[in-house]
Order: sequence, then C-alpha cells, then structure tokens
Amino acid sequence: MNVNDYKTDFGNKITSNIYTDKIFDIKKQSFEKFLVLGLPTNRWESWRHTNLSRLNNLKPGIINSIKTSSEGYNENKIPIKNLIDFVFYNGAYRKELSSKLPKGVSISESLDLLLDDDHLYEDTPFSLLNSTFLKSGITINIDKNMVLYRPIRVVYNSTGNESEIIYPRVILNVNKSASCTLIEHHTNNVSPSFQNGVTRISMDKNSSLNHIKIQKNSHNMIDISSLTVKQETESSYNVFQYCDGSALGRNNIHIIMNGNGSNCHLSGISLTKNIQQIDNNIIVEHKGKHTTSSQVFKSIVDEKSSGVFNGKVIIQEGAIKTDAAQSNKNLILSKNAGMNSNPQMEIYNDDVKCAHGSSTGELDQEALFYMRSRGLDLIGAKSLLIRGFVADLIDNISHEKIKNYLYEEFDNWLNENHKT
Amino acid sequence: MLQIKNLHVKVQNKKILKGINLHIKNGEMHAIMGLNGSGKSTLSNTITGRENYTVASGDILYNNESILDWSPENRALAGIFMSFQYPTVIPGVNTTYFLRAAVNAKRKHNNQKEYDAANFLKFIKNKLEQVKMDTKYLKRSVNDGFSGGEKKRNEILQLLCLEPDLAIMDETDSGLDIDAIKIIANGINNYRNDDRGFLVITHYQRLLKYINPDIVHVLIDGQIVKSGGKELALELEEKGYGWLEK
Repeated sequence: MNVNDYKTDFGNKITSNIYTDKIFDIKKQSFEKFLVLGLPTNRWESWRHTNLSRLNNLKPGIINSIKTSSEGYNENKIPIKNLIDFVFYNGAYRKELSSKLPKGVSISESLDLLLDDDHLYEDTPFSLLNSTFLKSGITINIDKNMVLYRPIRVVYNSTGNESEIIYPRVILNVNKSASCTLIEHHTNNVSPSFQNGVTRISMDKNSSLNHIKIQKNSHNMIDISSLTVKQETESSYNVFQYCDGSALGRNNIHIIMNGNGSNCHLSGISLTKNIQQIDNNIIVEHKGKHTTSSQVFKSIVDEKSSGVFNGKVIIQEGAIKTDAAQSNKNLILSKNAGMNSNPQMEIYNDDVKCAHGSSTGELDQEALFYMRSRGLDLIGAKSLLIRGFVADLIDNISHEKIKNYLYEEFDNWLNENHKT
Repeated sequence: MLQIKNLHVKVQNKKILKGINLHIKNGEMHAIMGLNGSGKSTLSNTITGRENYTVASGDILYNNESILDWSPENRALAGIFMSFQYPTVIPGVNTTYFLRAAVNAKRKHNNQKEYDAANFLKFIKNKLEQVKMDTKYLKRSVNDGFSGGEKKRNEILQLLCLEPDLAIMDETDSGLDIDAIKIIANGINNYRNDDRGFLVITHYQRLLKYINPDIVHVLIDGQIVKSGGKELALELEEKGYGWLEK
C-alpha cells in the first residue's frame, strides 16, 4: 500500500451514501490530514529504523473486506475463568461471539461515539487512516465507582486465506473511581494482512486500570497499534505488553497525564526471531503536578530479527514534582540480530526527579560457565539466563493466572528457539 | 583420581602454566599456595574446562581418562566441582530453581529420579543448616545482593548438594572474616571422607589452620617449585615466598 493505493480505496469505499454527513466529513478530514503527512519514511525520526516495506505486499481493494459471518472463529483460550470477552473477528466486532455484559459495564458500536471530537487530536498517519477507514469498533464504559474483578478481554482474531486490512477501534472510558483490568489479545492468523488498530483510554478522577496487551499474531501480519491514554487527577494506569507475534509489530503509545497526582507504569517484553521486527514507540507526557511515570521495556532479539525502542518523556512547564524513570534493556542472541534504543527526556521545569538508561548486550559468558560448571548443559544454562532476563517483569504482573499463562507462553517461545 | 601431567596452559597467547605435575588420590587433600599471578586460578579453571584456557601440551586425567575434550558440564557430571573465587551473580535466576536444576541434571545423569519442588526442599534443608544459611536466600536470584561471605557459603551449599568426588576450592577463604572461614572450613571438613579428593587453592595459610591438607604445593610462575606436608604452609607464612623464587 502506498499513498495512491490509499487514495484508490478512499475513492471506492468511503462514500457519502454509506455514512452520515457528520461521519463522512470526519473521515474526509482525517484522510486529508493523512495526505498532508503521507506515509512515514525512514527520514522521520520516530520511524527511522522501522521497515515499512512490508506494506508493499498489500494491494488496494482488500480494505474493509469484512466478512459478515462469525463462522470459523476459534477462540485462543487463556486459562482464566469469567473473562468478559469482546470479540473482533475478521475485521468487525461480533456481538454474538462476545460475553453478556455484567452490571456496571456498557458498550456501544456507534460510529458517532468512536469518531467523536477527539478524532481531531489524531496526528499520526496510521491513526488517521484508522479514522478514515474505520467501519466497526466499540466504546466500553465502566460506570463510576465500579470495581470490576472480572477482566475484560478484547480479542482481535482473523482467519482465512484472504489478505485484509482491518481497522478496529476500541474506546475505554474508566469513569470516576472505577477500577478494572483490560486484556487486549491479538490472535490474528491469516494470510499477509495488516491490522491498523486504535485504542483510546480515558481515565477519570481516581480511576485505575490494569492493561495487559498480548500480541501473538501469525508471523505474516503487520500490526500497528496506536494507544492513547488520557489520565485525570489521581488516576492510576498500568500496562504490560507481551509481544512475540507479527512480521512487523509496532506499538505507538501516548500517555497524557493531565491530572495532578496521576501515575502510570509501562512495561513490556518483545521477543523476535527469524526476520520479525517489534517496535515500541512511546511518549509519556507529564502535564499535571506530582505525577509519576515509569517505563521498563525489554527486548530479546534472535536470528535476523530486530527491534526498536523509542521512548520519550516530556515534562511540561507546570508539571512540578514529576518523578519519571525510563529503562530499556535488550538481549541480543544472534550476530545477525539488531536493536535500536533511543531513550529521551524533554524537561521544561527544574523541580523534577528523572532517570533514564539503556543497555544492550549478549548472554553473560561468566554466568553461562558458572551454570555449566554445575552440570547444566549449554541449552539449559542459556534458557535459564534468558528466562532470568525477563522474569522480573513477568513476576510483577499482579494477576496470578495471567502471570502463569505468560510464563508458559514465554517458555514455549524459548523452547521453540533454543533447541540448538 | 586426578592426574595432571606436564600441563602447559596459555591464556590469550600468554604462557601461564609451564609444566604442572600433580596427582591427587582418593581421600587426599592437596593445597596449592602461591602469590597472585602465579597461575593458581588458571589451574582450577583449566581443570573445570573454562573457555579461553588453552592447553598447549600435557594432559589432565580424571579416573584415568583424559578430560581435555570434555565440556564443563560433562566434567561436572563426572564429579568435578569448583568453588569459585568470585561466584557469579545471575540476576533473575532464582536460587532454588538453579540449585534444583543442577541437582536434577546430576540425578538424571545418574539415572535417579529427579526431585520435584517439595522433595528438593526436604533434600536441601539440612544442607542449609550446615552452612548456616536461611531459606530466604533460596528465594533470591543467584548470588544477587549476597555479601562476600554469603556468596562463599552458597558455594559450599552447592558442594554439599552436588556431592562431587573432586572438589576444587579456589581461594574460598579470600575476603572472609574468621567466623565465615570457620563455617566454610567446617563445611569442607564434614564433606571430607576416604573417597573424595580436594584441591584447595589459597593465597594465605589462614584457611589451613582449620583444615588439614595432606600435601602442600607451592606454585611460582606457573610451576610447582616445592611440595611438602602441612608444615610447608607454616614455613611460607613465616618466610614468605621469596626464598623459593629462582
């Protein structure tokens, strides 16, 4: 897909007789904004190391080839009971595959809600394309004061042999003093396809959210996800990402801490092999006073795969007493693998506490010898070390069953990769 | 048990060991003393098979078989153990998990049933008591945040768990206070029997106050220049190494 291909699709698919005037107008504006920006190139700072050539494999016309049937949906189970499932299947939200709504949770499929005035803030090419071609999405509301113990899971699943480009959008409003867990589970398993998704989370006063993203798409997918989180006073946002899928997986994360005393903690593990690439592009913006943020991202890159960490913390003028920490650690398992790490801080006031760091290295040969001298074979010793590299992040997951599940997934990944 | 024959070893093309001969029989404890840089650690690292220690000539026989081509893990499984001078910190790897993996590797090798988590805790309990270690250490990453003394006790704990036939103690006493040395020496003495061999490498005579080697060797510039009984260690303490240098 190049810009002309997108123009073709816009001309063919986005017409005023399908949408209301308001929606059509928003889509048109979004597309015009996209055309001004164009598709990112390697000359863009935040896309310098991202290989977008894989987009060339996709052709116009496959956009919105949403299949109407929910037949063939194969749930990728997580061993957690009582999930509240919201399922996107082959590009569309499927009510019939989703759970009944518990008390305190409501959802809407209305495009008016999905494309509210906030769309005007979309300023990246892919989120603008999402606004343009969005056909199906959901807005989830958690009532104020609601403490939801059952985790919400949003599943993105596609199957079949036809390539597609899908544009899911999820808006989650965590209202005042509400608290919940959101799992986003990417399990697409299709011919070369592209998921260009947008997730927008709005955290009202004193609300808290535990967000877990699990990206396990098949290795021929492109998955570019744009996540925006807006935080009001005293809200608390935690996200953990586990990504080992897709040919190209890119997580664009933008956290805006408007409210005083809000805090956010971002962490993630990216595991790549073959020619995969997983990028994390993160902006954490401190606007309110007394806000706290932390980032710990780790990548393990093997074979010819690569990864990018672009992390930026922006501390605005009024954001006094900010406490921000940022760390990126990477483990390189092969001479042909590569990692680009670029932690940055932009600080516009001097009443702050900040720390950032980045390290990239290979397996510690001393530790390997130590373990082998105790009788562990080379593969076993390597596996223990690699597991040890990410263990602190998985251990931090408070939900015991999700933690155990992710350890299993990690061990599977490890066993597949380190037989030799 | 261990026979070292005219061993020459290079590290990064520099000759470190220049013709070592050593024969440790079952039940014997040998001590090697020498100044820094004399080649003591090179000898222990070569026996345990560390990379980049190149044997230029000579041989190391263990139970009459040459082990030069064996991997470090195969040497360990055959019963050779080294207590490290500087035990490695392994962040993220839980101590219990690591010890159990090591013990189970050995049990598997010996066709014994591997320990599950519960059985392993039973197995290790009295060993922890012997080296005066609390179970809280087991929950931490291997040697991570351990003091010098704790690291060395962890080495002795591993010795007790893995039950090697040949134990090489590389500067196990360095950096320890007297109380810690006593705990370490006690661990070694309890472990000693008529079948097991020991090679104790040390800089000072301190540790030898608490354990009784059968033979003491003096290593200078990659060669054993003098061997004798325990009294040789006392003589070195008194006179230093100067009188033995060429």
